[in-house]
Amino acid sequence: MAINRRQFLSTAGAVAATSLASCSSQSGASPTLSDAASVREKFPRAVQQVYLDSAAHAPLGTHTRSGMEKYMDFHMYGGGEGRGQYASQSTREVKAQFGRLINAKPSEIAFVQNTKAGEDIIVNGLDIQASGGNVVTNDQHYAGSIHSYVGRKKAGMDVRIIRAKDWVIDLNDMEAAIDSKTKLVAITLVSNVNGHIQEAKALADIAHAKGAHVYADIIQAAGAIPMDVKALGIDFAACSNYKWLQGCRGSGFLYVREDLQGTVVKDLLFPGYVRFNYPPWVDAADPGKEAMPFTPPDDAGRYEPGNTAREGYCGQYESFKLMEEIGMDKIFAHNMALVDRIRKELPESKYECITPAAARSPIIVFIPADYAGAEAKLKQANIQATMTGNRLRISPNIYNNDEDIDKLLNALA
Amino acid sequence: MKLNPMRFNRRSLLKGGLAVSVASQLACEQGTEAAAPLTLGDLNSARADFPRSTNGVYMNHASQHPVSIQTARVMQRYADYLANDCTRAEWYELSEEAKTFADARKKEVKQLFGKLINAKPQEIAFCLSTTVGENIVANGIAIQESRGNVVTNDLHYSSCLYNYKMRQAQGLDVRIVKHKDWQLDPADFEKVVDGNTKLVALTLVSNVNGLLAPVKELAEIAHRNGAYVYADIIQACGAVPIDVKAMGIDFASCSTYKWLMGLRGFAYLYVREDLQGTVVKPTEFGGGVGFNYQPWVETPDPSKDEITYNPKKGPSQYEVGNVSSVACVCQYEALNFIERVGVDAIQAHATPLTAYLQEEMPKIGYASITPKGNRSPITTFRVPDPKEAERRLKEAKIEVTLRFGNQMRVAVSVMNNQQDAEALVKALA
Repeated sequence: MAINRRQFLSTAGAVAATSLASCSSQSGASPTLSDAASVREKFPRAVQQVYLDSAAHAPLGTHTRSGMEKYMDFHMYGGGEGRGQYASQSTREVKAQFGRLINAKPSEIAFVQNTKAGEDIIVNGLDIQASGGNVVTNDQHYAGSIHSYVGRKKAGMDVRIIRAKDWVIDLNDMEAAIDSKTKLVAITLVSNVNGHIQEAKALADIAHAKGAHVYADIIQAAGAIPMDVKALGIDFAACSNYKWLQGCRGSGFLYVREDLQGTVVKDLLFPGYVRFNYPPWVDAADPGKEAMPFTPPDDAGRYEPGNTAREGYCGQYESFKLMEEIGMDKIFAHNMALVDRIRKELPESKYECITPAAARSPIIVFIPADYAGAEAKLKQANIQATMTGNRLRISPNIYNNDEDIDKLLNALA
Repeated sequence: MKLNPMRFNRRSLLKGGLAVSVASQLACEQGTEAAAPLTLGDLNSARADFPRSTNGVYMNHASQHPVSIQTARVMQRYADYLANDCTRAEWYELSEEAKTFADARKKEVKQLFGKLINAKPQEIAFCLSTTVGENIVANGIAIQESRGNVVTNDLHYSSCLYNYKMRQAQGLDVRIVKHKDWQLDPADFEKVVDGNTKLVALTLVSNVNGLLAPVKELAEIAHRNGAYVYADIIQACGAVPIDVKAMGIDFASCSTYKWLMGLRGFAYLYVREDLQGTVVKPTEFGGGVGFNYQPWVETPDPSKDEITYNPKKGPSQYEVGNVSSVACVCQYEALNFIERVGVDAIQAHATPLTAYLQEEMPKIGYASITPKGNRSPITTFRVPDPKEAERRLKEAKIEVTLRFGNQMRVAVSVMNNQQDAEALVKALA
C-alpha cells in the first residue's frame, strides 16, 4: 500500500494537470486516477457511494480509525507494550503537524473542543466590550459565529456585520467599518456557503493598520487549501477536525500568534494547578515560597481548559500522516481538478454557480433551477452532497476520482 | 437507493485494524456478523469485562478508569458508522444500530447521567471537561461584577484552586478554607460565608484523600446566606451515590474518564433548572442565525428580523458547538453498566477493600490521611520511604498514585478484589 501511495505522491500533480487539460480539450475523457486507489480504499464510504461532501463531514478513514483504536487499547489495557508511548507521542506530535499545515509553531497551537470554542476563547480574551471596542465581521462568516456576535451585540457589544454583494465581500465595505476602536476582524477564510476565499492578506493589512487583530475560522480552509497564517496576516484561527482534516467531532485546534498570547488575548479559562506549601501538605513550609504557589502555562496550552478528546487527536495524528505523505499541494491540485471539471461541465442553464470563478477552493456551490429534482437525482444515484436552503454544495477530496465526477454529471444532466 | 449492505460490517475494519488487541477481539466475532453486541456483565464478570485487571494490579482509578472491552467495541462500531454512514442518514436505509448512532445517543446519555445524580435531562449540558463546566458557572453568575465572593477550600481540586487564584489576582474576592487534619469543618465555612458570597465551590469526593465532603451542611450554610453550591463530582459520580437535590448541590460537573468509565474530552454540567438563564447566564451564545434578506432568500419574510437570532433554551444554552460524539456513544455503554450494577453496589464492593487497607496499611507504617469510615473508594496514605515504595510497586506491577512528595493514593473499582488489596500490603510490608 505504501508503494501505491508513493506512486500517487509522485503522479498526483501530473494527474491533476492532465485532468485540467482534458477539461479544456474534451469533456469526459478523464485520466484514471489509479494511483490514488490506495488512498481511496482507506475511505470505505467513498468507495461505496459517490461521496462529495467533505465540507460537511469527512468519512472516517481506516487509518484514522486505527489511531483511535490504538488509543482505546491504551485506555483499556494500560500503558504497556508501547501503548502509552503511542498515546502521548501522537497527542504531542499532532500540534506540530497542524502547525506545519498552517505555518505555525507547536507552541502557538492549543487543543479546543471545536471551532466555535476557539473563537469564543479569542473574543472573550480580547476583552472587547469592556474596552469599548468593536468587532467587524460579515455575513459570509459561519452562521454560528454570527449568532454569537448578535448575542453579544444584544448584550451591549459594538458589532458590525458587513453584507456580501452577489455572494462576495467587498473589501471596501470592510475597510469602511473598521476604525481605531476595532479590536477584532472576524472572518471565515473559506466560506461554507459558497467556497469563496476572503482576501485575508489585504483585510489583515487594513485591520493591523488600525490596530485591530484578525481571527479566521479555517474549518473549510485547513486541509482544503494550502494556507500560511503568517503570510495571510491571520493572528488567530480555529477549526474542528471533522471536515478537511479528516478527523472527528469534539476535537479541534486554535492558533494564537505567539506574541499575542497572554497579553492581547488573556487566558480566561485558567488551566493550571497550585501546589501547597504549608503543613500538613508538607512537613515544613518553604519560607521562600507562597502558601499556594502556581505557575501559569507559557504557551498556547494556557487556552486549553482541562482534558481533550485524546482518541480524536490520536486519530488526527494518523489523518495528518497521510495528508503529509501526499502533500497539501498535491491534495489541493487533485481536488481543484475535480472542482474545475464540475464548474465547466455542469450545465449553467440548470445550475447557477454562486462560487466566484476566482475562488480557488474545493467547494463549489450551485442554485439548481429544480431543487427538488436535483435532490431526487442525487439520491437516486447514491451521491452525497449538501443540499440546504436553495443551494447544492459539492466538495470533493482525496478519495474522489473522475469516475465520481462522471457519475455526478450524468446524474444531474 | 439502498446502500451496499456490506457497508456496515467488519470487513474494512479487519483489513485496516492495526490495533491488535481490539481487532483480535473482533476477529473472534468474524462470521457471526449479525451477533448482537455483547453487553457488559455485572460485578462478577467485571475482571473479564475490564481487561486492565489482567495486566498487573491496577488501583489507580482516581487517575483514570480503564474502559471495558464492550466500550471499546462500541467505539469501533461507531467508527464503522463514521466511516460509512456519517451524514445525510435520512437518505438511506440504515441498520438499527446506525439509526441509534445518528445523534451519538446524546439524548439517552443525558437521561442516564441525570438518573445517576437525580437530575432531569433538561438540567444536563455537555461540555469539554470538568474545568470548563466550573468556568461556565463561575462566569455565568458574574461574581466579580456583582462584587460577590467565592468560598472554596484547599481540598477542592488543585486546578480549580489555580482558577480561583488567577481570578483573585484579577480582583475577585476568593476565600480558601483550609482543611483540618484532612477533613472539612463546616464551622470554618460558617466564618467566611457571608451575604456577599455568590458561590461555594467544593469537590464532593476529594482527589487528594477521597474525603466525602459534608456537602449537605455546607450547602445549608451557603443557601442560608443566599449563595449557591458548585460541586466538582469527578471523583464522586459513579463511585458514590449522588442526589444533587438532597445534597443541596446547585451546579455540578464531571468528565467521564474516571468513575464514569469513559473517555477524556467529554463532560457533563448540571445546572439546576430554575437557575438556568437567570442566575447562570450563558456567556457564549450558541446557536445559528438565519438570513432573511436577498440573495439568501428570494422573498424576505417581513415579520422577521433580517438576521434572525435563535437563542437556545434549557441546558443547551451552555453548549457551544460539537462535542466528542465518540465519547458520548461510549458513555451510553458505560452508564448502562453503572445503572445495571448500581452505584450502591459499586460502593459496597469498594468499602471492604478500603476498610482492609485502612486497617492493614498503618500496621506497616503507612498512616492514613483518609478519615475512618469515609465511604468513597479512594484512600490515601503517608509513605515512609517514597523511593523504596515506588521500586516495590513497580516490581509487583501495582499501579497507584504516588504524589505530593509522600502520599500514596489507592483507588479501587469494580474489577479489584481482596487479592489486589492484599498484594499491595504484601508488596510494601
